[in-house]
Amino acid sequence: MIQLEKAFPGGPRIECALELPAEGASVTVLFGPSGAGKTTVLRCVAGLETPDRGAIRFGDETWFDSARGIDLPPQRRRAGLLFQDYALFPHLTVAANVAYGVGDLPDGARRQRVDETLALLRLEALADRRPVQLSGGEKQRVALGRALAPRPRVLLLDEPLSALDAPTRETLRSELRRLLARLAQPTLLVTHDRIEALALGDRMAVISEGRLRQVGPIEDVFGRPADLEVARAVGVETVLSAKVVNRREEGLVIIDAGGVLLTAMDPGGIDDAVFACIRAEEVVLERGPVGQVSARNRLEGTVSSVTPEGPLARIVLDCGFSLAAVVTRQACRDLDIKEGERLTAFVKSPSVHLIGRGGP
Amino acid sequence: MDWQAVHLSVVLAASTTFLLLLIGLPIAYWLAFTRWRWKFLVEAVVALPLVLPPTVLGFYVLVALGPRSPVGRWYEALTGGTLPFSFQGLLVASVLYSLPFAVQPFASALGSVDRRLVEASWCLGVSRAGTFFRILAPLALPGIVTGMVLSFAHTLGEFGVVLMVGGNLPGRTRTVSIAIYDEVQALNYSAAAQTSLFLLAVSFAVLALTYGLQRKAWAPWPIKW
Repeated sequence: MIQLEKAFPGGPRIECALELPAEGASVTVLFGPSGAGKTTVLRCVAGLETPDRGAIRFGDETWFDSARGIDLPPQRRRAGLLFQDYALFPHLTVAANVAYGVGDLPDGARRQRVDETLALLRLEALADRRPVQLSGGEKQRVALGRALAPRPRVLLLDEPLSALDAPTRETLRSELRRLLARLAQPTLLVTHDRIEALALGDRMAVISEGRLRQVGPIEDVFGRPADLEVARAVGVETVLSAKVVNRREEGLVIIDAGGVLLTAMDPGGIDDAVFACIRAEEVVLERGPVGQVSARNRLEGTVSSVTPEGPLARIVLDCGFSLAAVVTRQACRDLDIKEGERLTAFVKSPSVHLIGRGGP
Repeated sequence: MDWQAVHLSVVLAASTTFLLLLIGLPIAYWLAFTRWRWKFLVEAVVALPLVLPPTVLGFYVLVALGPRSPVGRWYEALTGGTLPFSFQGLLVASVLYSLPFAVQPFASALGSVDRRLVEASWCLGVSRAGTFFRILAPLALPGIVTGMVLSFAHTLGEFGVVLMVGGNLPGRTRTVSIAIYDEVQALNYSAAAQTSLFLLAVSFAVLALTYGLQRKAWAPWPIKW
C-alpha cells in the first residue's frame, strides 16, 4: 500500500495513493507522461526519496509513515529496483554484479543463488564479461538478475525498455512479459509508453501532473478513461467536445460534436456537456460504395494526414472534426489511402466513450 | 646534498598523505553528497590554504598549537611535549596546508561516480560504508590517487609554513626546501643547485605520474560507458 505526498521546490506536487496486491503475479503499471512524477513515486517506495507526508506499507510491515516518524532505509526495504539505464557496476563482471546483493549468504548458497539467477536469465555465457561489453538487452537482463538475486518481495521497474533501441525493445517486451509471469512476483512498473503498458501490465494506475487519476484493470483504463486527463494520458486519440442532444431509452444517446451527430452508449450520470473519446484503433475505414453496416456512426471525410507508425499507420480524417484512426500499413496500401482522398469512417456506438464535462 | 633533510621531507610528505587520506576522504564524501545549503562555506574553508600566504597559515597554526592554547595544553598533558618546533607540530601544519590538494580531487572523483550506482548498491542491501568501499572507492580511484600524489608533492615543497611552525632544527624540522634556503644564505650555491635539481626531478616525476594515471586509455576499467 502506497500513500504519499511529495512537493518539490518550484516543481510539481505529487500525490499518490495506490494499493498493490502484495502477493502473486501481478504487474501494476504506473502510467503517465514524462514529468508526471512516476519515477518519484517509485523512488519513494524504494526508500531513495523521502515523501513529505503519507505512508508506505508492505504487507504488515511499515516502510514509511510520516505520522509515526518511520522511514526505513533502502537497505532494509530490499525492493528489487531496476533503474532506467540499468546502473550496472562497471568495474564488476556480470557474475559479480548479480552476486552483489547476496553477500550475506554463506559461500555455497551464494554461489548456487548466482548460478540459478544467471540460468534464469540465460546469462551463463556472459558471466565473466564486464558491462561495457554487453548489448542493451544483455545489460537489461543483468540488471534484472542483480535485482532478483536477493529475492526481493516487490520488483520495481523504471521504464525497463526505454534505454533500448526499437527492434530490441520489441523482442524484449514479450520476453520480459513471460519472465514477469514466471516470477509470479508483485511488480510495480513505471512507463510512459502505452504499448509497453498494454503489453506488460495487469493493472494500470494513471498519474498525470502529479496526481493519480485512475486505477484499474488495464483494459478498463484504456477502454474507459475516468476523465479527460486519463484519456489524454493513455492516448485516446480523438477527444471531442460535444453536447448531448437526444437521450434514447435503450441506453444510447445522440451527441452533437461540432455539427456532426454521433450515437454513443449512455454511461449514465452525465450532463449535457461531454467529451467524446474515440480510440483510434476502433475506427474502421472504408472506401467506395458501402453496403449495410452495423456500426451506427458513419462519417464521410477527407484524409488530412497519413503517418506511418511501425507496422501501423495513423490516419487523420477531416469529417467536421479531426478523427484519428489506426490501421495496418497493409490496409493502408490496399485501400490506397493518401492525403486528400475521400473515405468513410465507421465507429460503433460503444466505441464512442463519453466523459461528463459538466458537474457542480 | 643534505640527505637528512631529504629523508625528513619524504617522511613528512608520506605521513601527511596518509593522514589526509584518513581525514580527507570523509570530508570529501560529505562534500560530494550533502544537500546542506551552507556546504559552500565548508568548501571555502577547505580551499583557504590555496590562497592564504603560508606565513599567515603558519602564524595561526603556531598560535593555535602553542603552549597557551587549549590544543597545546591538551597535547602537553597527553604527551609531555609541545607541538611548535617539533615534527608532530609540522605534521599538523602540513595536513592543514595540503588539505585542499587532497579534498578537492577526492570530492570531485567521488561526486563524478554515477549516483544511481550508489543507490543501486543501497537497494541491494549494502550499507553506506560497504557501498563506499565496494563501489565509490574503486570507481573514484584515479581521483583518489591524484589527490594523494598532489598532497605528497605539495608537502615535499612547502616552505613558509614549515619555517613558521617548525623552524629549522636539523633532523627534526629541517626539510629540503629549508635546507636549500640555508645553502643559498651561506652562498653555498653548488649544494643548493643539487638539492634544487633533486626536488625539481621528484616533482616532475610525481606530476607526470599523476597526469599519466588520468589517461583514460590506461584506466583499469572505463569509468563512463
